[in-house]
Amino acid sequence: MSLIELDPDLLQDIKKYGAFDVSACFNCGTCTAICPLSDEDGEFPRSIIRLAQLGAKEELLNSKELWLCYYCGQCSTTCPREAEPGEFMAAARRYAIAQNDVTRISRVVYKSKAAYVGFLSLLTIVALWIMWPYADFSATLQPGINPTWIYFDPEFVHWGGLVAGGIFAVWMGLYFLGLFRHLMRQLRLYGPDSTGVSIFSKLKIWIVSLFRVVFTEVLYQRRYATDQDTSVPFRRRRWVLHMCMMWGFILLFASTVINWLTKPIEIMVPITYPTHILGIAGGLLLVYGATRTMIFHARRRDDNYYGHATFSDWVFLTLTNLLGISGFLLTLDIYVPTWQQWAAYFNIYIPEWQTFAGYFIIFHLLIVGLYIVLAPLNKGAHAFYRPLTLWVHEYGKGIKALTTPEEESYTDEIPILT
Amino acid sequence: MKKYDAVVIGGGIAGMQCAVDLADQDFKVLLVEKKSSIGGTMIQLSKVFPTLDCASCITTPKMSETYKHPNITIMTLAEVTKIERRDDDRFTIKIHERPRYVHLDPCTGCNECAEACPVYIVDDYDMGLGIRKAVGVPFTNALPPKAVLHEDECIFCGRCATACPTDAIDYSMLPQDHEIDAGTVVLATGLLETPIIKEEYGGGQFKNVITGKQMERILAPHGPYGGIMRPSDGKQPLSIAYIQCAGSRDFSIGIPYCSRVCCMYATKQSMLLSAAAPLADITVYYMDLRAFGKGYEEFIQDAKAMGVSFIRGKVAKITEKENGDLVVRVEVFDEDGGLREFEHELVVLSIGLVPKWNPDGVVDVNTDQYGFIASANPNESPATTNIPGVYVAGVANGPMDIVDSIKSGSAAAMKASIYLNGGLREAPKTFKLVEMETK
Repeated sequence: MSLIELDPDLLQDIKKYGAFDVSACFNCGTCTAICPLSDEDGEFPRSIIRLAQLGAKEELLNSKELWLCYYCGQCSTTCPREAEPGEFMAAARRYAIAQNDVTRISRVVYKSKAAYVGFLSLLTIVALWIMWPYADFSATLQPGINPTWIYFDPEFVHWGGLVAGGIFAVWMGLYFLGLFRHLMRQLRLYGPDSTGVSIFSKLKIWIVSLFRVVFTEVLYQRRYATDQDTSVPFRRRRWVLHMCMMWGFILLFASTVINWLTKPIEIMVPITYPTHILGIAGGLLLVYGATRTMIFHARRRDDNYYGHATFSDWVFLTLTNLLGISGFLLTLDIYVPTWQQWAAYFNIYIPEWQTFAGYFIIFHLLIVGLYIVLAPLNKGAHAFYRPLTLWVHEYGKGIKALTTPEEESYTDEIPILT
Repeated sequence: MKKYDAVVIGGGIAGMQCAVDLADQDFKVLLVEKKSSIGGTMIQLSKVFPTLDCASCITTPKMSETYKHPNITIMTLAEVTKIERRDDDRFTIKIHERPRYVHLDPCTGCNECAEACPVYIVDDYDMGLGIRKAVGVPFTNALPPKAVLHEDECIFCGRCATACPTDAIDYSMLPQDHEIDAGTVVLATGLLETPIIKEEYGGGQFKNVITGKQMERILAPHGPYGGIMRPSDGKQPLSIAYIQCAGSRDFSIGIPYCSRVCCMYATKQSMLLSAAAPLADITVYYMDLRAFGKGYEEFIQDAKAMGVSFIRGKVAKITEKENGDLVVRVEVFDEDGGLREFEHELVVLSIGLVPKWNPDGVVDVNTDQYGFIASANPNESPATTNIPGVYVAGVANGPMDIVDSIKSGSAAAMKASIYLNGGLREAPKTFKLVEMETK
């Protein structure tokens, strides 16, 4: 038997991250039994509530169950004590993100609205203060040249980009340090007893489970899809909206990376260029998902899921939406003059277009910067936590399947005694 | 205006006890009953805990005593519409009496009318499991033992009137309004079972998910099936589950209080089932067993010894299979622990109690937040309400078992008696309502 360290203030600490009342919980287990995602391999939320009630901080932070939950709200609806177990799980996840954040900014971001606004403003001011002097908003668009090279000092674009990239790399590195710690703790605590399993089998299971997680849980999100209310029209389901946002982000990110890798960066390509089409599709998905989610959050105050958005959730969602919107504004502004040329070719008159491309570039860069800085500090962190946790979970299942002997089949043959 | 010393509202076990205790002191008592027979909930039960005595064998003598008592007048099919306290400390009570369509004096209770009647109706005495005729004696040991005609279902074909040997049936009876002058009033209006509103338990749609009181009727010797069967197909269930706290201790259905009787009646029924259906496996799913009374814990231990399995865990969801079997999903708390699914052929919901009668607009008594009539001072004198001369007995006051209801009826009778002798004239000091269940 091993001793565990208890933190008597744990529940009070988690309460600062969300509105729930698990002190009312009498551990009946309704939440676990109603949960569509609970199975023999991961039973929650009652077990996690119990950990919080006891103050078992380490066990709570390292529990994989925290990240298996998708907050459908059924546990909160059926809870006989109105303890809001779903919201508790969400708050515990915020708490875990804050605890795993080595920079400790996340705690402030979650707990204080004023501090978060201050932090956002500070980042914005610093970014604008750096970018503004190198911008020339009076420049005019020239066909065939990437507008960033026109509106900004090319030297600044080159070096500024490198420095910003370096800062982001360090930032993400710091963040990954927290994530790495988390993953290793998970492995140590929940990694199954793999004695007798050869290193090759282990490696095979690691790789197979990684592929399984990436395809079923990241790209398709099968577990999220299982608890969807089928009475809701397809386009309004939470899983669909989430898929829109996630795929939107992936497509936008992919188009940027492919652009950067495959074409000289200072060249402006026509709007029909494949990566542009990819980016526009991504942007549309992103804006649809984020807008609809924001509307639901604003309207459905009584809903067990939508009614519980925190300020940090709102900021994250708004930034996600602005990511798409600012990109669209920029695209529109850059390509409308091109359309004018096409229109002129067909003798159609379109009035002179006043471009604001310089401002839109600054706006878009600002949003992208804020997004990258803030994502690991709040809800965005789940994009790393969930897949990693599921990977470990999947690996554990693989090892378990390998090490558990198959049950001997029962035969009712009567042994013949001689 | 007829004059009585006391009016007791409700002819259940608490009301009958109260009426008998008052009548034994030579007070003239009027017992007002909403149904066509006195007896209340208890006469529907099979046996009582923790002694496993036959419920009818205890209730029927009490009913008979009430019915035959020279000082007690029984008014059935009657509802009180207004209770007013006058300046001379007495009460004016308005009563609406529905027509029985059968004259009580000539009716001998021979049930010839029911034989003749062509209309079958759902029997609410059997909790909707059995059927009866639209006219006839309400149930075997009903008191008064007289026929009653259900006007809503009756087609007025006249066959019962022809069949009646004493010409007791009279289709022209009209509702009557009475005004009574009474010295004191006792409210013993009783209980209803919590309806199955939980969607996770089928919301009343699953045929083989029944309530505790329906199981009482199935277990009763004169019950609807004459044996242990399940409603959907009449199969004798080989696996029966009890789900505790199915209609109480649950904020999500608005009933957070404990109903106090379900743990014990489930234990009692499971013991009876072990005898009546010896092949059946009986499982009780519970959160915690509240065996608070004398001999109750031993009763549960007896049940365990008889082979009833008690599993700690609250059932979250029931799903119905095509053949009518039911799968319950529950997180079990035992050595292995964890999420399980069990299959049962019959599920009994140990559903709780809610108050039957709402005094709004009739009498200005305080109620608690769940509608039970509040005691002015629950610790000092539970039978006293905020109005001097109005007393409360039985489950109208809050969930309680039979033993407590009888005690409560006697307590209310004593208070009423003191009031009738000139005492207790001042309004009782009302304490802040005690919340029955707090977070």
